[in-house]
Amino acid sequence: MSVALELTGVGYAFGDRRVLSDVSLSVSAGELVGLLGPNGAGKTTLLKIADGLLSGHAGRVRLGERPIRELKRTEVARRIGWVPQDIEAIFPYSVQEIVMMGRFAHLGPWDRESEDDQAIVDRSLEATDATMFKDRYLGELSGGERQRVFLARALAQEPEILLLDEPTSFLDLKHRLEIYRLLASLAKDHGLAVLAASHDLQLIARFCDRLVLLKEGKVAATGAPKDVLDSKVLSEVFETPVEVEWREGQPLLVWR
Amino acid sequence: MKGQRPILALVICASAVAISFLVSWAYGSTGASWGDLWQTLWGDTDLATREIFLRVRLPRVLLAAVVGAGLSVAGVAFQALLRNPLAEPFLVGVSGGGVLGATIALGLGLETIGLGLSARPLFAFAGALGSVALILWFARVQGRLQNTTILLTGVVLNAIYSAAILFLTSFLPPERFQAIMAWMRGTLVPRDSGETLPLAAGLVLVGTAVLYRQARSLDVVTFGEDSARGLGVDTRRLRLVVLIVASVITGAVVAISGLIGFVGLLVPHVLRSLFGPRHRLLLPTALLGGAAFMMLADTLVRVLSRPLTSEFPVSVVTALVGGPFFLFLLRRERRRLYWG
Repeated sequence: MSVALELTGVGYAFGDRRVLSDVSLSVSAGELVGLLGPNGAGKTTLLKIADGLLSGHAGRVRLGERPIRELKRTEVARRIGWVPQDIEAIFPYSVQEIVMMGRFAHLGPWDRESEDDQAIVDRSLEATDATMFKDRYLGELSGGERQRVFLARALAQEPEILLLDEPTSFLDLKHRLEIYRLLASLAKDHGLAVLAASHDLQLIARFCDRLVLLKEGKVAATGAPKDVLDSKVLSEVFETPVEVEWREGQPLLVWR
Repeated sequence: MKGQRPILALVICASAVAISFLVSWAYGSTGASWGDLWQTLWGDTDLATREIFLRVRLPRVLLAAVVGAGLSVAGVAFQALLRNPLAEPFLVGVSGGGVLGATIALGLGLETIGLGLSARPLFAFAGALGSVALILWFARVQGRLQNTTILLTGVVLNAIYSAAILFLTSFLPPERFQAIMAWMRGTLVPRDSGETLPLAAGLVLVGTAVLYRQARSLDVVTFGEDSARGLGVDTRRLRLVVLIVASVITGAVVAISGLIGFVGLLVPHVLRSLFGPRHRLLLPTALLGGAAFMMLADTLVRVLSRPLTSEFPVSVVTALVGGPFFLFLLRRERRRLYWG
């Protein structure tokens, strides 16, 4: 498997506040990697750096063979789809128009959206189960529905790499499972490299190939889900005594 | 219809421009009307009537069209870039900066700055651009724009500018002071503008074309800068291009018309609710819709001013219509504004 995204020795500070120090991780094509950690551990910052959205960080970010700094924004956008936590719309664009914005990097300033673009948008809406509200506005949708819209927008970018910032935080049980199934299938069947930040320990353990656990901007543990989601490790990182029991390949958490 | 039938939307707006143009040409401060206009066009009328239609009204109607078109397009640009549905050249202090710049040019007695370039639009542009820079400097915190700060900055800038203008103009001889005040209040008097009207028209058209090329980027950037960069927009370049263009347009318009408020708020809002928010359609319809709106507003001024010895400024009409509309929007959108 080829490494699609590689971060080496990444560090970042907002003014005096150190958010990340010396974080290294890589995601290969066909791999689904989960990014875990308490609130404020630096997950969002790490994802932004991975997408080249923050400048002035330490360390290196490479997409395949090339440093991300050498790429134009359109080139990055054709390779990385980024799903932020929540986005607010100022003007009433329909869901379909928003997902079509995922095609931005593929279209020149004077191009019209082609039938191919429309087909890609339709497929993306289908994949995230958002087709039924394609003509509605963001303001009319629930938090979970909005998350599916922005995932569809990222899929419409036709990326090789997908970065997701808590993609299931507002979703119900059914859609949480479906989004992880979709992410796993994007990795396994379509060869995408997927990195998802999440608090959804159970689903992440079931579907991810590897986990990276952050604490206070450092990698506290990394490896297979069974090794990372361990009673001792979690109790330490989340500063809360928990016990982890594994049943049918999924962790059950018991607070002590 | 929203966004579905762009041709129909453009036809509707173009018809509105044609109708407004004819109405605005036919009605004015004198009784001369349709019949006289018809005869003027066929050349069988007296010299005085001819003068009214061709030398007095026509330049003024065209002036109104250019000013309305420019203010609406500038409003569209500021609203997208500042991610604020209430941003508008007048309210955020960009027009005020332009007026201050133009006042300095007038106060210094500068008509041209060599090479035949008029000083007034150039100074107005510099003032407008300076205001935009100030707004961005104050309202951008960690890459995010704060809606309330944008509007508050505009309020304070406007207060500072009007004080500065009053201070500067008080050193001028009375007749010059009167002329500047009359212009600043927002009037459409073509004899003041002279050859700057074609210049302004050209700048508005070219500026709109440049913005049109960025139409898709403008759509994307309304969802925030990070989100836009994630989709491939070079937001730094976009910000630079849009701010310069919107300032050029505002400066050009302010130099010939003074302070006319709310047009850039009213027209884009109505068009968005009719045809959707996509800039590929919004920009051309704002150009047309703004021209139509302004020609009608100015017609109203001329007709209502008939019994008066002197006309009231057209900014009175735009503020009396646009001000309440702003308050209505403020109430409807305040939750979103405070959390933005």
